[in-house]
Amino acid sequence: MGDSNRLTLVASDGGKFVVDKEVVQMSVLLKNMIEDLGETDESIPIPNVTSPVLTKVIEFCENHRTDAARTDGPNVDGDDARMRTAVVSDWDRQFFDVDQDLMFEIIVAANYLDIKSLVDVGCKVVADMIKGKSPQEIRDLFDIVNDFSPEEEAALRKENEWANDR
Amino acid sequence: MLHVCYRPSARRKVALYGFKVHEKCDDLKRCICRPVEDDRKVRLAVAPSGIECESKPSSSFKASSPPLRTGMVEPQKRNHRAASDVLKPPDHPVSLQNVTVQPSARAASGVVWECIERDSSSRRTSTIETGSLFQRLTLPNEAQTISTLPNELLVYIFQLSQATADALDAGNWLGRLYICRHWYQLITSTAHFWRDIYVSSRPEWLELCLSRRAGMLVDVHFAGRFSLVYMTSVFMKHALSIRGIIYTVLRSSWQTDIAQLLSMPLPSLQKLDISMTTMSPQRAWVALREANVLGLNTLKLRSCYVPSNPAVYSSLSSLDIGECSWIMNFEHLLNALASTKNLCELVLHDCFVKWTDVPHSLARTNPPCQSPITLSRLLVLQLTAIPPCVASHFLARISVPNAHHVHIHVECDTRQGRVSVWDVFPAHAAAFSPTCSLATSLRFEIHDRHTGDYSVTARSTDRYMHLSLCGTQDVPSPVWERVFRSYPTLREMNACVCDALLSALKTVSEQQHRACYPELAVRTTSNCCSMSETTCAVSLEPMTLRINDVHY
Repeated sequence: MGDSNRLTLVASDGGKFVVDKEVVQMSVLLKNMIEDLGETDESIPIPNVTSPVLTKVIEFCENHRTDAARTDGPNVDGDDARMRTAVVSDWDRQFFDVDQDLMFEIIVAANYLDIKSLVDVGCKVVADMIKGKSPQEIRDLFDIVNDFSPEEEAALRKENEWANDR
Repeated sequence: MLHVCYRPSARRKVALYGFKVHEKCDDLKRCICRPVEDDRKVRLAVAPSGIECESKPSSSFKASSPPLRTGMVEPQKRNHRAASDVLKPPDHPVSLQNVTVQPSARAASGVVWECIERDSSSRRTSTIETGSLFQRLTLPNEAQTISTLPNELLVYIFQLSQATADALDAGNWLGRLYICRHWYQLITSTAHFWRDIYVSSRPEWLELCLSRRAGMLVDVHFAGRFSLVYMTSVFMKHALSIRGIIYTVLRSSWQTDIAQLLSMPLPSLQKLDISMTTMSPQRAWVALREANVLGLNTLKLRSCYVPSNPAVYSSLSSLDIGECSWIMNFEHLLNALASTKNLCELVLHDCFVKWTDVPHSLARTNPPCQSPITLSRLLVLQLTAIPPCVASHFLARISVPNAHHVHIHVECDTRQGRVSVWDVFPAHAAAFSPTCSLATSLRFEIHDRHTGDYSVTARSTDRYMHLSLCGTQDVPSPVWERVFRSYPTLREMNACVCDALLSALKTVSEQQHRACYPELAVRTTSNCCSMSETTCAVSLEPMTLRINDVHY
């Protein structure tokens, strides 16, 4: 019988991670799974998350394990307003100082695992990256192609030219 | 001329850049495509300006990468960052799913290249316009990692990146529309984003936004240039969908604008915010039709005549009035407040000068005959720039048993007699707010227009209360005793130390049989105007008296 306070997560590529239950319970998905499984030595597969991403997710959870209200409900308007003005901590910003692929994979994984605080911080980091940038700067940032035809783009600008008409 | 080069990107996508555009596709900036043989996305960029090659092929690019070929020729050297790394394009036709781009057999007639669409079922081919090729090609943006985010997260990011709902920010925010088709579709189909509409001089814009609301009620903001004349028909058409009117721009026709807006039938109106400020003594009439106030729950007015119709107030949950003029007296206002069942927030700012039915003496010396009205659901009470007599009578006539945020800012002139906070504080303190000691924010301030600040601020962020007293505290010892008894959870106090204060502390300590006075931890933070007074922080043991034990 293993340590009842720890469990093993198995990433999609087979990587195994032994972590404290308290840490993984920041994930609503895993918390529910643990409750359903009860005391067990079985490892929990995380089929949608690769080892590098799971490593980062666990790192975040371990750092934020003492945070209060970590399994809040879904976002509401007031919560969004709070998040808009919230400042991302230095640690969190450094945590997301990774290449974009990994950053988005972490956010997607956090969403899948239902770790609200990680989703919030990740989205806030991306939002801060977007804020104040022109459309072309945003395209360059995320390597997005402008796939409007010139006619469409012209029509779109005409349609929204009110923004300069206030 | 068709110039193609390709590069693997960091995410193993292959990009083809730089068509010298065929005469029929001069309007194209770029085309997007996906190869048949590989699920990896391929970007084919058609740029009138020629090649853009931004990175050299990496070792991860293998021969098995999508078989991109072109019938052309001539690698471009312009705009290269690493021209030597550009792979020379093979001179075969480009296969793009069921479309082939190849040099035209009609080159002699000026058509340099053409697109051939192959129907896989009939095996027939036909020449298609390059314009329609643009429409058919698969978007590569879905391959970008930001596109791996579920739409709800992308929407959440858009929400977070919008700093405020302010009109000045709306233009920036709308820039998100231009990024790509996916973002455009996502934003325009998310009704939540079209809930706040900033009108412009173009009624078409209002119409367009209203068409995107997908059944949601909207708030219409009048914050810039607009023409109400042209907008009236749109308003009338969509009257049922207008939840809020927010008018914040000051312009010459503001009074008639407001009258015209409110004359329209707005049966879904829940929020009316007329909050532009003007130095002019002119006021706008807020003539709300009975049918427009049935669901009205938020009313914020500045520079207006406060409506006298009691029906306006009955459904309110928030009432915020500032710098307005009254066409009803104090008693009528109290009656209107009494008729509210759901009022949670009451803010009155600098609008108290015209009430003639308020006695010119403090409620302590001239107690009201009527019993106070109870605003049982009120959580926030804010009376600012209020004269002492009005404040004392107002507080004497209302009971706010559940208020957790109370801010009373009294404006007085000591040349007409000194007023203390305790003169303004209602005599029936316990009935006024039994939960005073639990309030998260409780501020009573006296601002002396003549000599400066004289304020008391009590703030509680947890079960203990912090008390700040600013300005000259010319208050006798018995008053201080009442202070200390009034706040049973008082733990820390910032004040100018004076004999009366210390004496009162000592008295209360002795009466409580707790030696809080000798345990005072006094730390000097700055000097006050006179040598005998020092601003300090005083730590007190929690007191045990209840506020309803206080007798003034």
